[in-house]
Amino acid sequence: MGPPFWDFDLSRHKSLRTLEVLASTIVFKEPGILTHVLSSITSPAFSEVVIIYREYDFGFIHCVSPSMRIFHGMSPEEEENEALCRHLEFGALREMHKVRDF
Amino acid sequence: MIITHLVYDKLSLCACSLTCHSWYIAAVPHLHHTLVIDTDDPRKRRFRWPNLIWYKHMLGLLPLVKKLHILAYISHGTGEITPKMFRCCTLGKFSALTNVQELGIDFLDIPKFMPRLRRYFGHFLPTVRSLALRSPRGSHRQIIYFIGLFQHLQDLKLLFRSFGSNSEGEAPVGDLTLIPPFVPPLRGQLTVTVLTRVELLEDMIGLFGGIRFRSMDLFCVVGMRLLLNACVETLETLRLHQNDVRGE
Repeated sequence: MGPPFWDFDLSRHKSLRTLEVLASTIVFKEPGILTHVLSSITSPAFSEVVIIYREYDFGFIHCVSPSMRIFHGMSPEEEENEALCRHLEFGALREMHKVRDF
Repeated sequence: MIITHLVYDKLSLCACSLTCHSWYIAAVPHLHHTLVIDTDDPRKRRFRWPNLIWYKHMLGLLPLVKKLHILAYISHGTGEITPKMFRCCTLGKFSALTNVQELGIDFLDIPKFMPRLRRYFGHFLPTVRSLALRSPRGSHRQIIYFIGLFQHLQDLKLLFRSFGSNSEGEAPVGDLTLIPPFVPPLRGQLTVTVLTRVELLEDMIGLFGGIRFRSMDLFCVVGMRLLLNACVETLETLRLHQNDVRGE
């Protein structure tokens, strides 16, 4: 297995201003990426972290097509999963805040 | 002119173009700014390659096109973009696209156009500032050679759909002697998705004497460190995802 895709640091990028990541990346796909990347940034111009949420990040919306969306109530299991997801997300954001104060 | 405010309202622009000559002159560049040609459009024959090119050429509209996207679908059986698509008079009409600034081509089979790439794409070279290649075919040297034809290129998108679509095949004889004719500025935005061909990135950086992108969208790229190190002085925005899924 090769190195992770985010095996890099941004300590030498002195003009870096903005970093964007998907919410699903920081929680599920590459947990720890935000902490890892943020801790390496030393750019004085760095001022913006954008975390992008998409519709599928919210489990209660099922997109059949862009024009047709189904909203429904959650079963207790789904509610539990949803709570776990949010818990992980807030955990990731807390970690981010520990690394860098915004 | 107020017509410029209607740039996203095609119906109103159409209505304006029918009002009088001066309104037509103001509206028509916005109406024909973008041309998307589907090589396998199921709706109407008129929109399919090469009919749309012939139709627009007949009306003298091709020089108005600033943004061109040639769509292809391997799964639909239409295959790659090859010289066969430019038979008969199509190439002559295609060459009337002289003001394209943003060019997108799916499944471009570069080896089949070699060594006469300029014959097919020469009219794009002075004007194109943004190039998007989706799953291009060819060795990494051939892909870099194609990119190096565009002397004023600022933005580059290399979009692969899967790790399987990265397969390069056997490099042709003399591949290593291919040197891009120009060194494009490449100071705008780089978008790379699902790329495993590190040699492609290494050679691109080597042959172009470095890259100077200010913005990068990187998603599932092996060799991300290489790209980031190459833009240490210039990088301002880093997106660790594909900002624009369709690559438009």
